[in-house]
Amino acid sequence: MTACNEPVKIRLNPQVVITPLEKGVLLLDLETKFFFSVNDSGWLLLQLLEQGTAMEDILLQCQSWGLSEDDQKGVYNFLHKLEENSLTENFTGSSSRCSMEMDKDWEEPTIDRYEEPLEKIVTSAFDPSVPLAE
Amino acid sequence: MKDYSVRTYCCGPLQSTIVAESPELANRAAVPFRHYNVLWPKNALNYVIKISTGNATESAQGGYLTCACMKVDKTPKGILATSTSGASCQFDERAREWMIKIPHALDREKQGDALEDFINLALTSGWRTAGWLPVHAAAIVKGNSCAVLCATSGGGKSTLTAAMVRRGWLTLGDDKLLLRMDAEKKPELRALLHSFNLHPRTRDWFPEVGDLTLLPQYSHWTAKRKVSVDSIWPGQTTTVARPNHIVEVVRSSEHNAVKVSSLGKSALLALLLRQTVIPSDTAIAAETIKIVAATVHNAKGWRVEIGDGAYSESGWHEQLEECLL
Repeated sequence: MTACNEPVKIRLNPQVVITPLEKGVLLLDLETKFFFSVNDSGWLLLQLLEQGTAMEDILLQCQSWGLSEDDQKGVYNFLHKLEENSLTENFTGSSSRCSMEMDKDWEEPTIDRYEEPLEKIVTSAFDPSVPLAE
Repeated sequence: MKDYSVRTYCCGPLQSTIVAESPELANRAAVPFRHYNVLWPKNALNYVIKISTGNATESAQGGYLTCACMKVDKTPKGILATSTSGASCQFDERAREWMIKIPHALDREKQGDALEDFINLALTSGWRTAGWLPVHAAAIVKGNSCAVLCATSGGGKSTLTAAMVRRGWLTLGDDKLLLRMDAEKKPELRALLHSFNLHPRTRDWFPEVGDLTLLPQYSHWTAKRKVSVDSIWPGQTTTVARPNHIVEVVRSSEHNAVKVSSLGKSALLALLLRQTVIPSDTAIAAETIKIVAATVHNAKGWRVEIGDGAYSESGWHEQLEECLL
């Protein structure tokens, strides 16, 4: 298979840091300094994207989880929001196909961006406040 | 070969040896170190900080961290930092050695600022390596209750901390703490310095602090004075605690108002994340968020809106103490 007819795959941007919480995960984009909370179903999808995967494989995975067409719309919306916030990137090339077990009830995957990002310019290596004007 | 001035300082879990080209540079470098007056049971890591005069040969872009007067990059060897004043700093991770170069022509004030920036960078990096997260917050303790007080610089952390100390609470400090998950996977806070940064007007509410304008300013950036807690409220400090409350301190526009409300976990997470510097390094960011998230998991959250005049009112503390105790 040549590069031009390889399916385009999606993966998380390398500057995105994921931290599992009691419920769902927290994402921090080190580029923009925005952070996001993602619910458990969203976390399941993020795990598919960590290694990179083709859209077709995501849909196959959704079918294996027994998701309805409506549920799959929710998956599309979630992936769209990730893309909209530059949390994912497209690539071509190899990736290991990842299969995930669904161990919790499915709910519509959600991603909520916290209103204010962390500061990009801080006072010092200790003080995360906005620097005072000189 | 010049004569070098060598001094050693303990800052929490670190032992830093300063090797300066001249006693003047050694004295200037001593300023940020001399505030760390809390003795730790053992100093886990040793670092050498070499300081000499000279100009930066390369410029950092700020890919790792951008501060008001300093940009920092990760390099294959460790870290490169340059300041807007032309001073530079390189860290050799394997040798655990920082090399600071200060331009000869720089005035004393700018030399001091650059040294403070680089030393803060060296200390925060060292603390993280030793497993501790630097947190820009205050903490108070009474019985089994430990509250982390969070606010931006000038947001009222020190005044509220002092007010609670007057009510019999102990303090770990008013702006520099270290946090980690201990062997039992529980959050543990430790003190670094037992001093308060108090504005001279604090005397209006707490007369026992005296005339703070008689003390030297520790930085030209602020009118606050650094005061030993013991010198005003003897025996009111402590060194270690398990945080179980996180409090957002907000100045109220109503002069005498005190309003306490609860904060949800999501708001609490955002609040505590804003009290620490997160460099653009995925491993450090992941570890930071892990410690912050675990601390939030174990804590109740509160928002305290407090007016400048509230401390003169009797009973200002009742609602807050009811939540914390």
